Amino acid sequence: MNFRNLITNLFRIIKKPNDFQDFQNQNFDNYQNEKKSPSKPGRLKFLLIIPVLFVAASIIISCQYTVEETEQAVVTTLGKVTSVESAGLHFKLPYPIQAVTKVAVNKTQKLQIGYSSENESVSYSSTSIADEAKMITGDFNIVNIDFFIEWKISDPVKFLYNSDEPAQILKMIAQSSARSIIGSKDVDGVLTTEKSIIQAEIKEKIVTKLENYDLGVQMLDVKIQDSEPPTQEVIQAFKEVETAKQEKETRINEALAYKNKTLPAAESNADKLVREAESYKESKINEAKGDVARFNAMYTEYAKNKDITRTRMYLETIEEILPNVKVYIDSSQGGVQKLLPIESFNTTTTNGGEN
Amino acid sequence: MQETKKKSKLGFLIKLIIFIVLIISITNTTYVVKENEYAYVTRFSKFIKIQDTAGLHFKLPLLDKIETIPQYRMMYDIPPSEVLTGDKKTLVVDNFAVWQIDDPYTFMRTVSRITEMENRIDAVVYNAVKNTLGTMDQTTIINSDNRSIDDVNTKITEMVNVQLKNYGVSTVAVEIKRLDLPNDNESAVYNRMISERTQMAESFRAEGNLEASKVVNETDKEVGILLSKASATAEELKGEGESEYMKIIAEAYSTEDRVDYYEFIRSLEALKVTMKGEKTLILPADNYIVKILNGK
Repeated sequence: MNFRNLITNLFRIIKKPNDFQDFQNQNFDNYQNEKKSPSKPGRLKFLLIIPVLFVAASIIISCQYTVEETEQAVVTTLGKVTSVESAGLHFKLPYPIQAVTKVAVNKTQKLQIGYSSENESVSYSSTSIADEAKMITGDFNIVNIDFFIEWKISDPVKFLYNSDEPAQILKMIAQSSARSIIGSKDVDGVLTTEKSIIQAEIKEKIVTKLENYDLGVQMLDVKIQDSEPPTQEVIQAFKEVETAKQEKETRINEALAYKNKTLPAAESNADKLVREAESYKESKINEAKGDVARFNAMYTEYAKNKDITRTRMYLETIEEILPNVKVYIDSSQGGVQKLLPIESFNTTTTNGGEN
Repeated sequence: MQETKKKSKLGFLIKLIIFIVLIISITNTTYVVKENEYAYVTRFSKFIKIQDTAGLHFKLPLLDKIETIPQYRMMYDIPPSEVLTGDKKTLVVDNFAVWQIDDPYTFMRTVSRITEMENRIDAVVYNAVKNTLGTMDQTTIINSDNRSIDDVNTKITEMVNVQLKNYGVSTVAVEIKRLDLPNDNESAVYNRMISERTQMAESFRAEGNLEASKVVNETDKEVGILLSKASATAEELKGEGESEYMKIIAEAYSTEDRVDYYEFIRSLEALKVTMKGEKTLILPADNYIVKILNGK
């Protein structure tokens, strides 16, 4: 019977897909037979071939798979891992005998902690994002730290079978590591100077822990995205400190400017004083030299004829001064005073008072 | 013709039945264990064996029952809980545990369900955390160098594992994911942070003023020293000038004659200067000029 043939052939395909060719041939034979004795069931059989072909084709398609350049495929045969395939076209036995799980081994993956970019849907974690970010520093300050870790799958088999949610475990480890590192730093280090050291230490810590967990993942990088104090008020207070630091610098610079302006001015004043004194000294010496030279010259002349010169000079001086001066001659002898005014020779001699 | 048709119809039915029976018996006599599973095999609810190698295995149809138990490591994010520290302060501790079933037999006999196990882990971890942190001061817990928080984690993990052994379960690690102050403490911390910063800002400003005035004072001092030194030098130079002057003059008037002459011309000069203007002069009778006037 046509129906019977169909079913048995179908079963054969399920058991052994390679028999598909036989099945087709057989069908063809049957078809030929039917043609020889055309009947109603013949048309029915023809209609049934279409779904059978469809099923057969889908089974064949399910036997081949492609692995991308960035992936590796883990092949399991009846639940047991039998091979790991790299990029290319591969064949397998149909389900449920063999199954393939593709794992993106070469892809760098990113886990965000303390924040979420718009694309990321939901945080798996039970704690909110704000809580994730909040950490206590070693000096009892609270800071919000957003960071991300980059990782990739290093061992696809371990990644698939060693744990249920490796990425989630990794995230937990990252949080735990970050917390313990931040707890060993003080707030200023965390917010400013020690960021890169902290990143390196967190990474190192995660790497060490991962050895124990054996998740088949590899840590690539830890980056602190943002670290800031928790509330606006506190942020304001931290900014205030920065402003004060700047103010301090400004004050010191102003003082230095004063110093730089005042010192040279004072030096120039001091220099002026010294130079003036030097000038005074030199001029005094020169004055002395001049006086001496003049004196020497005069003295040489004087020495030639002392008395005459002396008298001449005396008289010259007298000539010069007497015209303007009232002269009295004191001719007193004994206790009697007699003054002779030279000025008024035209008048009678009178006794004049002393001037 | 009809005979054969009937026969073939019957044959087909028989084949179909055989086939179905075959399928049923295959699916009932075999089971697949995956790489990350244990199979727990029971016969009439009585434990037979644990199958932990992946692959195809056989069993008795209908009689044997298979349960799969995870062999992989499971992450359990324990809800945060409040813990009292050694110095009677409250901390909110958030842990996670990564655990696995080592002994599926014991596990199935004692707990048998994952969610139930998580509840027990929760309790055991809470106790371990409470006991460990309860002996430490808050400061020691929070202000840890990162070694000591590792020690705390290790200690908790060990304590937890001792307890979990009874269930055939162990943890790879129990770690403190977060360690926070309770919410009402937080605002106190914020206020303290603000006051700390305000105080720092003030001290920076004061330092700025101090250092600036130090620089100014130092400058003023230097200026003072510089000027006084300069004027000292200047006075010295002036003195030198005077002394040079006197020395030169003194050298010039080395003989008595010269001194005499000097005194003479100097007197004349002085006379010229003092006798300027309307002055009156009284000359003694024996003065040189008077003598001349008198014709002597």
